[in-house]
Amino acid sequence: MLEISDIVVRYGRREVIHDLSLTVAEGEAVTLVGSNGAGKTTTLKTISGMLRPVSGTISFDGQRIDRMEPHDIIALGVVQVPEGRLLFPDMTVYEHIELGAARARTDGLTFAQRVEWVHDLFPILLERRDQKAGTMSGGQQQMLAIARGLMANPRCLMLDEPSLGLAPIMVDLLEDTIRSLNETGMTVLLVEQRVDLALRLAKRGYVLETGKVVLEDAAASLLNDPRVKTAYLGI
Amino acid sequence: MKKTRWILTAAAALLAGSIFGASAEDKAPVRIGTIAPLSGPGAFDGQLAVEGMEAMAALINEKGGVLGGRKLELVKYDDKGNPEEGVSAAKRAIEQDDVDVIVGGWFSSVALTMKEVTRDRILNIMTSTQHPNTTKEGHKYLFRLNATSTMMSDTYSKFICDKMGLKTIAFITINDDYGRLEVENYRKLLGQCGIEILGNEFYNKEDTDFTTALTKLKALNPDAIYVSAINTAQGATIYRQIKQTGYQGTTIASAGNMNPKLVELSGKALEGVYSVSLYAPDSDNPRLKAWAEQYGKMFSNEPAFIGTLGAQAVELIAGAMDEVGDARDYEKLAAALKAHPWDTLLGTITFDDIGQAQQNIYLVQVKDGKITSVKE
Amino acid sequence: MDYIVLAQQIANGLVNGMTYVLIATGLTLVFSVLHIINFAHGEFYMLGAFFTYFAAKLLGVDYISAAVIATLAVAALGVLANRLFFWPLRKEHEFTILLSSLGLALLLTNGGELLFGADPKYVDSPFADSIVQAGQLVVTQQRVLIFVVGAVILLALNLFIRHSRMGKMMRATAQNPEGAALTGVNIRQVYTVTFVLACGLAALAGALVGPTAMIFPTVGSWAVLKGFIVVILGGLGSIPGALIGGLSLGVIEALAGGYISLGFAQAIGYAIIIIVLLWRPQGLFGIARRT
Repeated sequence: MLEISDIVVRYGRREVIHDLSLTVAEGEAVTLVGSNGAGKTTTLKTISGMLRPVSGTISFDGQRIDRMEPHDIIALGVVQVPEGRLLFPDMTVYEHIELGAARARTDGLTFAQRVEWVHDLFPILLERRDQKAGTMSGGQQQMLAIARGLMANPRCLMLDEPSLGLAPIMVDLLEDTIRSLNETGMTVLLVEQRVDLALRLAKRGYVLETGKVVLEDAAASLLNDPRVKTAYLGI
Repeated sequence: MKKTRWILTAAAALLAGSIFGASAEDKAPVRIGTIAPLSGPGAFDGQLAVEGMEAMAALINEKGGVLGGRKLELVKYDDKGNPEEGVSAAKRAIEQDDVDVIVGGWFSSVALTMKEVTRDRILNIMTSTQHPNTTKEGHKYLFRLNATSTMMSDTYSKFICDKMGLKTIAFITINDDYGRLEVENYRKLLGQCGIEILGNEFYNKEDTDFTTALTKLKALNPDAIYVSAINTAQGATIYRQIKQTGYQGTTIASAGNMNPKLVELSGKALEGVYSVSLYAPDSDNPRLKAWAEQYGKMFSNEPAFIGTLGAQAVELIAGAMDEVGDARDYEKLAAALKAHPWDTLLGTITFDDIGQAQQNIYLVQVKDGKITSVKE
Repeated sequence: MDYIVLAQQIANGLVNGMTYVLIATGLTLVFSVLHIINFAHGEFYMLGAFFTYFAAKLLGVDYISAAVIATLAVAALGVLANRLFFWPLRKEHEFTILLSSLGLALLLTNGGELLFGADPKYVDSPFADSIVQAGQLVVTQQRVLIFVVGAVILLALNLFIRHSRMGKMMRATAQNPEGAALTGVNIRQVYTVTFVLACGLAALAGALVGPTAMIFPTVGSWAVLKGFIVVILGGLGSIPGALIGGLSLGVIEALAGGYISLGFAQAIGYAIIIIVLLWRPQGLFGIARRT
């Protein structure tokens, strides 16, 4: 479904992604594992259209998206829930939910149905409908960020560090949510510092180091890979 | 078309600092450094002034120029109406561009600082500046065409006292050397004939709204408001706003600051308003007519007083150079100018020892949207 | 009698203040949404006044139609200004954008002098010389028009930004441009709409104020200066700040001019800048800058 071939990405003159390739099949959950600065977030941003690869291609459902604007990529169904949530602090919860649908695909659930759906997933968002996002807790903000992403009616949801800064109980809730989304058929591409969590959720994983894929395998195998264990699981 | 070309030239001058005219004659042209406000609120007055000079230079060049075939050429500088810019323009004209003479000093504040740069170095004809100090010290090569505000106010105040039947008056004046002196003069002169001065408001040269000051003056309920405005844009705004505040009394325009554009812009607000001027547009002087005709051929504006002063400067420079037979012997040129009366487009002009001109001063009034001279 | 003069000065100040508000609102809008300080903003005020003049003269339409045409035309120029001067530099350093806007200001002023001529012009309005008298207060219809239109437009702008879809997208972009892009906001469209609104507001101010004074091509530098004083007083990026800052500046100037001198009224703007920057740099209503 999502196919990335040999992309090179630069920040200014510095090359941060070198000939990176990866694929995500429809309905699959895939994770990118790697230390800080390995290029995971950069890869997601490049897929979302926030960054342009200098060479290589990205296609979604066979369509090239590597020259498209972020809002057009969202309209195809590729939606990123960014690291740090990037909410609008002075806007209300409901305004976020409305804006999330700005470029939503028209097939599938209607706007009203999606609003109901995200409120079912995260009842607190209904309760806090008119509260400003900046005044909510980190966990609530993360739920809002995911809800905003879901309002875009994604086919492929990319989550960047969703567990960052969350209390353990929130992390469990998050894990359940992501799993159930994947189980209902949504394709998931996950970047997560908690590698154990990421590999539990995903079917396959890629290990990134300094902008390159160094390892690719089924999540279960990666969990048992000695290199992964020492480098990322601290075992 | 002609106007566009002129504006293009002026714009080029703005960008490059100076430009050289296009005359490609065998003999080197006589180059007149022309320092005037070409941008900012005074830009239009500067334009009128320079147009007047262009028209006169064209007339003289048509008849073969000066000194046996040398053409007159204007080298233009923008003083932006600022003393600092005026000084730097004069320095550039003398030191870099090596012009033969300088014509400048439209606004008093510029003239008063610029004259120290040109002092004893180059023939400098000051034009519309009215501040007495411009010629007070009598620099060797410095001349001023306009009457001083003291000379103007002497004539004007007599008329105001004798003919207008006022008991009280208030002033709105530009806050610069010229404006401050105006108030001082009229306070004295009008006070002497028993007109009570109720107040004065100074405005700044960047101001575009005068309702605050006018509200204050209107509250004093004077028989007349005397407006001292040296730039057309501000003048027209003030005349209109006087009516807009609901003031019903007499409006008096400062001396030497009446021009057709001001009348056009001010609309009915200027009807019946008096001023005094060296320029009577309805004069039948043939020199003036020839110049006005040439002006009409070259430019789309109506010729204005400030333009006649520019033209007079060029006329006098040409005359003196031909008489002396040299463009650079400032000693002789200055002596020639002071030696005898000169016949010009504004009539006969004479210079005293300090280079101050003596010319006719006419009383003018706006009637049916035209500036007409008031016959005694 | 004294109270009447005071009331008259306050009325004068409120009208001038509304002009400042209209100018400052566009300035503050561009800053808050796009984080751009636009030095060329005053030139759109100048263009608004000149377009009104030329629309009336060349098309032979009445003042109101001319003002509307001018506002729309300058708003459309906003699209072009954004396309050529701001959008291409969006990823550059803020300083580069600042210089670009300064370049645009010079281009428009000099272009204005070239195209329109240096002679002052008068925008003729049937309301300019008609006086409305309320008790002993005297105001021209034009000044009433400035105040009323200004108030209505600001209210409409506020509703637009609060409740319309585009308004929400603009607010989202203001608060987190990257988050907005990832939510599906078309950032380029937000740039365009913001410049259209800002330029349109400046032009409307020019079209309204035109008939109260003479216009000339350098009048934009006056406008942008007043705009910046208001924006510093009210806080960069705050529309309520621009409203209160603008009206306050108008009234303060009128009272300073009326009871001290016009020279003082002019200086007080600069004094306000210094005092506010020392005492409360974010302005009275400013939002702290988020990174």
